Amino acid sequence: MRAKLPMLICMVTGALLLLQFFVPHPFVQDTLLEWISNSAMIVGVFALAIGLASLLHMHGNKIKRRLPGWGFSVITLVTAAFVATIGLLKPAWGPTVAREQYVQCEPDLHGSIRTTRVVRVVHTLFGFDPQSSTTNVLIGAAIMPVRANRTPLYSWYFTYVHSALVSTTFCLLAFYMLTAAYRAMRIKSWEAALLMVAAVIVIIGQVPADQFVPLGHINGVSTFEWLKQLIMDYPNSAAKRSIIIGVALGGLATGIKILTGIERPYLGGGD
Amino acid sequence: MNVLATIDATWFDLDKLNVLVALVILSALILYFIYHARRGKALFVRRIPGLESVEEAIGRATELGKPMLYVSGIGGAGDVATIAAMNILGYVAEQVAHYDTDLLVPCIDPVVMTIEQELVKNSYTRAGRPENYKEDNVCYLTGEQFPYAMAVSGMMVREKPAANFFMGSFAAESLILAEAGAATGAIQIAGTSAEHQVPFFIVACDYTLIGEELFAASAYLSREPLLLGCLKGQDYAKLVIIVALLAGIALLTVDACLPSEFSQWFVQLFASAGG
Repeated sequence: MRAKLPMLICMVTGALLLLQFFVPHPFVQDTLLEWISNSAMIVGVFALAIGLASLLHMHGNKIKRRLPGWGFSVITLVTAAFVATIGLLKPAWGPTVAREQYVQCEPDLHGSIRTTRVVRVVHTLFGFDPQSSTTNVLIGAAIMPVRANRTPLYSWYFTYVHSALVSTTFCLLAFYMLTAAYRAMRIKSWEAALLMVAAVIVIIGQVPADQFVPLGHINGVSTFEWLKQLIMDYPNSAAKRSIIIGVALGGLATGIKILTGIERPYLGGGD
Repeated sequence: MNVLATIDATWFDLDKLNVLVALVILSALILYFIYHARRGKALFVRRIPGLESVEEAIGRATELGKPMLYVSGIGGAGDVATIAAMNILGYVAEQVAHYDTDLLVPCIDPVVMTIEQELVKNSYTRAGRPENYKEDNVCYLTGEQFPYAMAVSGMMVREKPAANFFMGSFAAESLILAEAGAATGAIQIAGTSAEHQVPFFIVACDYTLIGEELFAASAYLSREPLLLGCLKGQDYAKLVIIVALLAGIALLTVDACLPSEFSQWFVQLFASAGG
């Protein structure tokens, strides 16, 4: 029973998801899908608690036993606690990252000065604006307050810390690509030579090389751009599609194995 | 008649009829070979170097007395590539359990972590070494792609695993992980269903399972007749697709010279309504 119930749930859910692909009825597309998505969300929330417990357990143990690198564990736990805490704070407590500023324009034909309201994001040190204050300005006949737009602290953290770190990590890819390309293009065999030639053509075709070196044109585009497109459209697409077909069939076979209960990794390898 | 058309349109999307027919044909082929395998017919499977090298990697880690790292991608538990990765993890953990080697499994998804903890624990139990299982070795790191890549890279630099496995669903972090692993000198085996990441793994890893080989791994490693039957069915399904592709190429080539309605109908037959 311990194994049969999860298997049954898996089979029924799998069959329902397959059904929704073919049945456009509102009951299936809205009610059923919403129910499945809500169930997945509930499982996800519980799983998040398990994940957090694992994080605390692992890093807590490292700190307790003063294992090598335990300092990193302290930073991890402190940061996790900080992010969780700022998520609970009131949005009004956040730093000021934008101020509504006003631009006074020239007098018009009737001699009256028009003031236009514009919102400008003030980029100060890490988004903090030490000069933020609320004052009033006259716009035409109306007195309008200048508002200091506050952002929730978690949003500030996300923009100025998290996104910056993630972008930095992503940028590292450029260096890794260079080392990977160096390794791939060392000409050791004729296949590597072929790869090298194809790569050089694609790289040159990607940039406007014809502006500097007259390389001729084919069908209205520069020779290297045409060659690049030829490589990308035919050998490259053919290889990619063969992988995609194989993956699709593999996915189908795995789906069948799971729906029929032949493979049950979700049971944790137990029977 | 109108009522019938309305019911059809509501309960079955007729634009997807071709998908259903293809699904039935391909599934029937796979199920037929599973049935055949049940009857004990021997089935041949070609050699996959990436999977042959799993034992070599385990042996090397044991000799060096260093841990092994297993990354099952950034997909969730519902991702087929992650499921395939879990199947390989079960095998690797069972082999590792025989030796006193640590297997580190950092996870990006708490659901995947829970399943993998059970999987590794059961594998150690099956190998008769439940005492060697360490719960903290299968851990949750973070739920985001690049922080996860950084955390795993840090783990590789600090722990210096002798063998790294990257199996499952990967995106831009694949090269970060593979290059960080290559820099530590570990033997690396990768496998992914993401065709855009395959070239990165090929240049940075020692062995790479390309696309479908990842899904074939559980059958290849376990040699279980039912799974091998499924693999055989997949091959025949591929044959059906190849025949359809060749027929399409021939028809469209003829159509370029002698246009016919049949060739257009044939092309439309394979056009998907999406979804």
